[in-house]
Amino acid sequence: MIAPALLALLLASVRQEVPPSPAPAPDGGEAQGESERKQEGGDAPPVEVPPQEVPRPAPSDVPADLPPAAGEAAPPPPQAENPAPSASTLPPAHPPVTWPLSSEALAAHLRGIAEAHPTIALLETLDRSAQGREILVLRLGLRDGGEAARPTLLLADHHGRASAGPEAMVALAWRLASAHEQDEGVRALLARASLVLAPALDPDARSESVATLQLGASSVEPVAAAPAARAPLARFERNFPSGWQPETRRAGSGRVSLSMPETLAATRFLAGLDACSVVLGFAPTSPPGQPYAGAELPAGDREVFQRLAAALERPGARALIPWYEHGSPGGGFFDFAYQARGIYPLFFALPSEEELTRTGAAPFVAEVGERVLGCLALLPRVELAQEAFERVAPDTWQLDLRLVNAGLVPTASALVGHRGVRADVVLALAGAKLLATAHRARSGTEYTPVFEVRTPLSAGTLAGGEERWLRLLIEAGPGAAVSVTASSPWAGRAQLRLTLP
Amino acid sequence: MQRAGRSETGRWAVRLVLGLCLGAAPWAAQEPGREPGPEPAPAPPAEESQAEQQEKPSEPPPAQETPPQPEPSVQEVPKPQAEEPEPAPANPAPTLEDPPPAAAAPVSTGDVLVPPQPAYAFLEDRDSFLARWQASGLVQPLALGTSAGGRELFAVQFGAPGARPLAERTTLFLLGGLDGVSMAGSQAVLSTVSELLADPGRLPPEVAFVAVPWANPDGLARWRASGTGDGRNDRTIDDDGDGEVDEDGPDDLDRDGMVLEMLLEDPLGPWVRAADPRFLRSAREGEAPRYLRLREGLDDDGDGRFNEDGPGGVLLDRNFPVGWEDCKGPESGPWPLSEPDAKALAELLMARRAAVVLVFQGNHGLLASPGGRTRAEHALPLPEDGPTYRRLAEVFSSHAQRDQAQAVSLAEARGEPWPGSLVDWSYAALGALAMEIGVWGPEVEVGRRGPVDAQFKGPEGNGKNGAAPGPSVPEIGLEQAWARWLDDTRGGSGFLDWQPVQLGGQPGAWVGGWEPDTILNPPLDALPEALAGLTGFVSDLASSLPRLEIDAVARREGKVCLVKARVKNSGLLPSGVGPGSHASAVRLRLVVSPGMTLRAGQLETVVGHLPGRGTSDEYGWLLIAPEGALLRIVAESAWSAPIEREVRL
Repeated sequence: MIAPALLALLLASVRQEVPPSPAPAPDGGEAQGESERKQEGGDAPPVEVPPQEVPRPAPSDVPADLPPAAGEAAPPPPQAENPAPSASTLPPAHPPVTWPLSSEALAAHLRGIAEAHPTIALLETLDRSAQGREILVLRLGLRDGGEAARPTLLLADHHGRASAGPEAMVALAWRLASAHEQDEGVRALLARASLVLAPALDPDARSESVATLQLGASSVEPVAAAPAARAPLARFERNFPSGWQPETRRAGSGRVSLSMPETLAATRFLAGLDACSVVLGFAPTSPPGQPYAGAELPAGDREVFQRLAAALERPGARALIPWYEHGSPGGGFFDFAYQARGIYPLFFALPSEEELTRTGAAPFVAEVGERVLGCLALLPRVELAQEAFERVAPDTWQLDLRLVNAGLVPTASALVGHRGVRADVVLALAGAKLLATAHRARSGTEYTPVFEVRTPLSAGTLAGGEERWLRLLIEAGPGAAVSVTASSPWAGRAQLRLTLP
Repeated sequence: MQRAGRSETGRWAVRLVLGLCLGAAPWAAQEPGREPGPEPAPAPPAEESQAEQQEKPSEPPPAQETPPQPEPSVQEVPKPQAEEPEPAPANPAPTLEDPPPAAAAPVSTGDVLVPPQPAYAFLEDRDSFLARWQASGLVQPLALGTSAGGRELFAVQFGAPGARPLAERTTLFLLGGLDGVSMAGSQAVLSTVSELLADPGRLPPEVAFVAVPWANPDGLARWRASGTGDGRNDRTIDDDGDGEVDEDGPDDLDRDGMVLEMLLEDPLGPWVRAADPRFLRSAREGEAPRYLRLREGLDDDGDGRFNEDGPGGVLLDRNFPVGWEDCKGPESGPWPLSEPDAKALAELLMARRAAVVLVFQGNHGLLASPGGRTRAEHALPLPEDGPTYRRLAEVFSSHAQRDQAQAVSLAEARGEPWPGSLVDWSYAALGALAMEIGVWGPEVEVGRRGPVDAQFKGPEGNGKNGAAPGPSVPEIGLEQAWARWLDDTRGGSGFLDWQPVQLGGQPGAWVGGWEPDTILNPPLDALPEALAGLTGFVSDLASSLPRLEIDAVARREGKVCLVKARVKNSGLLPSGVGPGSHASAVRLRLVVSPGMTLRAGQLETVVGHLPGRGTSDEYGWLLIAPEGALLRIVAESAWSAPIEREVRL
């Protein structure tokens, strides 16, 4: 459940950040388009614009919360569980977020957030696109050195201007980063989970489509020198290795997978994001599709997808689309995320461009923000509690533990297991010698001994909300400081410390 | 079954047979609506082509093949760009004896190179090979970078002297030991290059050869060091995801200097002893005792598993994009082409006109076509390329004197799925005629006492030919074939019988199995036999590559010119294979001069694949052109460099 104050903050921020709404000019987009053409025409790096200057909307920009057209009812305000916080709790203002943002404007926003909130936000450049734009990722979370191991939620988008996903991410990032300094709930949330935002994994496509109004423009595979090596055009969403087919069979896929700098950068990035269990993307609204031929979807994972989508349902909002209904033909970023890394992808159903133009992006931005916060709370999170502790012999102690996955997402997907990568929850004991272990079923009271004691102890995979009871018989002298640490790549780390009498 | 011996007469006869086989190649089959060609022009100077000429009376070309005679007012100016007089090589004829070879390297003894004593060569020997090869004046080294372990990916290119740079020619790739295990594969590449360079007359014009003898330098180095290994490169990976790296690798438990296999008694194990107690078979319900079959070693990290995280990282031949997703476990790499050597090979192939890709590796003894994946929707090769691969298998079989009655896919040859391979990728993505050549196999050593039945028809039966491949049984059948070879030709030497070992508290543990240089690589004295015939096969393949030709005529009616051109593939192999015929198709292009306007026909025409053996297609154009204007017609394909014909209108 989202903290009511958080939700209120988010909703308030969306309302607050919207500038006065000028009517769209007939020559919409020209000013921004000119700016981008200058960028593309020269070799200069992307312009860094101070945050207070960059997202300044051109007169033709469509503001995020453009009022409804005459004669149309205003969209109902999202329901908050609590009233909006008082003015004193509202974070400071930040540059407005307008739709559509070009790649350059997006980059400036991300830089602005990182510069304004260095204790909570970290900007990372994955690589440069084929046209030289930076591929940026913003990490939000308490920067105390342990962030890489914290349960992580990734938001990623690679579409052109038709998607309001990047704008939603930027708005959310501003609000979370700003609220972090004043709101204990936000601090607690970002101390136990990390949010990683990749708003434009294909920045060239974003920039080109915003500039030229051509949707879904693609980046270009590098062209080799020899005539025979002339590479065909490759598309971002066809160039990933899972479900990939060569260019000879599917146009836009390239002669090798990951032939584009953007796809290779995204793959490397994802492969290093060990703590990420869920990735949220954006997809046009379409009838439910099927996984591509040959894709794997174990029944256990399908159930997790369904539970996640159900838990993130909101009244009046389109349901999140689980990966298996996305209908990808293969070769996509999200296909790779699930098939190769076992990460659960779900998609926000994008409002149409016409809808965005008519109503503005504010309702969608608010919906995304609310669900992202909700999803952070559903990530797997290992917790460890002491149930009982007694001396059973001199220097021999019996420690009963309860191990819990406090999230809804399991500590590893079934597909992670299929890939042969172990993602068990393991327990490590320090300060004492482990003599024997036993475990207890949820319903029973009797412990069953485990005959083969090995360290670290593996607790296997815990489903969402699952509890395990473990009994450790340990040997340690008086006054020993003993600790038990439970950890898993997806579910983070929990530690129990005790000092023996 | 008895075979001819390996006398020179026998070799000549094999080549004659090959020539006849190629002459009747099904890839020359006529397509509907397509003109069949005349008998192919004799392949350049290979001796088998001469033999073929002697055997076959010349036939007049079919009437429809004869191009129309040009009108007197039109002058045709043939311009065989690709056949300009070729300069003499910078150096005199190759003298491979000079400089003196390294101790373990082959030396020339006329037209065949044989090692002074059979020996395997390794990356450290590259300089001596390169020096001798470069003495031919035909060889250039290629810089491909290094492996994950920092070892050089040594490569050379060579070809007959000619005006066209090697990098622009139709290219035949020779890759050895990509699996990181097949030292014999590396040796096959080395001996093939040496033998081709020893007789440069066998190098067809307009063809480049690229050789990478040690395509997996890390894996091969590991094998060399230990006599065992699984072919992985030097990337360090956490195989079991426990946060530790390489903490539980194999061990020499019985201290015999070899790390072989280990059987552990386990009530849930999938194996039981076969009738021949050396070997195992799948357990049936109720059978006991059962075994796990593992590499020899301890549970070093005490996690209950044996040797699950040993040295070594990624298998290069699982690291290519087609089928990579089918691979399980970290040994296929975190993403396709994640390994520098795999990426370098892929980039090299993409940068060239990759017509033929031969990967010398494996111990199945067969020519294996693409098809490492077993799901029907991923089946390779395409049905239309089946006849080409079948014929190649026959030709290979004749050259190397193997018993291969039909084409087999990678998965069939390997007895298990083999996804993510270079062969599958280069066929499916580049349209290359790609195949794996199993240098060593249970049937190869036939010179000793006749062929071993290598069709794997042992009592266990695995349906080698025809049965669905997969992990069900094949390895047992294959092992039986190997057992027969071992017993029939080697007196049983080469398999260490299972010996009990103490494994802590673990009851029932034995170590034993195949010794190094038995089934994965030939014993040294069998190496020459394993390599025999491979150079002839490669040479014939190169001589059979497609050769595009253009015949053109023009007729003028006032200011209007009618131009007809016939594009022909006079080679024996098709002009392309694989999916995506549009990308790899032959294309015909008009280059018009100023003042010309095209009134009918297209500036660029996709001809498609021409099956070969003189098959041709005809195209026509109407142009308005001033008298005496020069029109150029260009044909090219992914495999073939552009050829040009000029027509004076």
